[in-house]
Amino acid sequence: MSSTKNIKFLLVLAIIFFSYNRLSAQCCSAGSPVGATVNVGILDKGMLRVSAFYRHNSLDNYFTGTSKAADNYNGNVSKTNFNYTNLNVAYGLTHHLSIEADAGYFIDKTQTLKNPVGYILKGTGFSSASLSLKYCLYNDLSNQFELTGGLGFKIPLATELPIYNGVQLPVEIRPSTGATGYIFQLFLNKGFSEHKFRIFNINRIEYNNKNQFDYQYGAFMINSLFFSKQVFSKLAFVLELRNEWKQQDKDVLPVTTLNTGNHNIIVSPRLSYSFKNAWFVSALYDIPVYRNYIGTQMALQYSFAFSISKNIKL
Amino acid sequence: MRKASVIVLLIGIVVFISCKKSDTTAPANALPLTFSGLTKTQDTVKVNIYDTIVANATGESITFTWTSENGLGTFIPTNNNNVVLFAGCHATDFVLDCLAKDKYNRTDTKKITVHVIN
Repeated sequence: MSSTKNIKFLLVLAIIFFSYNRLSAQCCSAGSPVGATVNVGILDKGMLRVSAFYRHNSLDNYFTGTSKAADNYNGNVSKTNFNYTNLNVAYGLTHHLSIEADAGYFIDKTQTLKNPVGYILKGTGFSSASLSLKYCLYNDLSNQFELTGGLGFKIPLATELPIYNGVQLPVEIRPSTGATGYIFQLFLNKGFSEHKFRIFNINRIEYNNKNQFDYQYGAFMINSLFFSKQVFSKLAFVLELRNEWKQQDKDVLPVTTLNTGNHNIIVSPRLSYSFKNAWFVSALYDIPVYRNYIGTQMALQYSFAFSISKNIKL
Repeated sequence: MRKASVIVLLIGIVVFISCKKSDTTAPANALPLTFSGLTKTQDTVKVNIYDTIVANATGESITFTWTSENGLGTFIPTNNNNVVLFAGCHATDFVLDCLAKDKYNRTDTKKITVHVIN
């Protein structure tokens, strides 16, 4: 690809990345943790990919807008932690069409309270499953360019109100939205093999329908720009710039006043290692560089994740 | 043979997890479950401020399950299993349900409305 085309490609990515900045919205409402794998493109026909990831999120300060909440804010949570796992299976139906299924499980979602001091409310269980089709809209192997779109739907793996020690859990730590939903994805990839460099972009929108309580979790949108540089033959360093938005949730009130919805920008360095030409492992650490919360909410402090995947030719 | 064994095993698992535990029948001399109602300590309460809700019930080994009809708000259990703290996350009326269940699986439910203001 000529340098003009490369510049155009980078411009397109930049426009997509920054065009969402005026929207309002965070990660990790029920059932929507950000994934940890970067193998999200189309698969060759007959190729099966199985991947799993673990993610830990820690939230330990109240934020109002972009700043720490006032000292006299009466929030009763001192800390929130999530430990989440996800299993994903994808299969190449044709050279242009892949099918993908995944399911998530919260090992725990905990809130540590200020009153009673140190009391922990804990949610655990399956989150949701999804089934998606991904279609390669454009693929230029010689120029290492891929544009893939995906559509899918989400099914809640739990619809009952979760009860812990005899009381219902707060919305923030329920493992499942209890609602169906839809997933839209767009993946762009451009490789520069002469420089052992790759740049790619993942856009993902998750839309949730209302659950049985007429509560609707806000749509969750991610736009990630990745820079991947192969530093050794099997080791790559990847830098991700991730924009995350979560719209405000809606309940039965005519005007919602819920403290939900946010917008985070996160820098996420990761190392990715491949071996035996089929296994991929990676580890990442998320550093939030911009946090903006609607109302007053616990804010993301840090998160880290590990992923492993294997490609199998059937 | 191996295939048949797997099928039988799978059917067995499905049957096992599908079977409901039978209800315990209360003996004639069992204390009745009497759930007289719920009380709260404040007429109105501000957003995120806890109100104390008490379930008044008598019977044998009673457990309580607390939910809100809109699924929102935060409950905190206390050392007394008939007492919880409740805080609303926004200004509205929260209808709370309390299910009382005794050791014989007899149940009764009561409601109370908590008025949450800004």
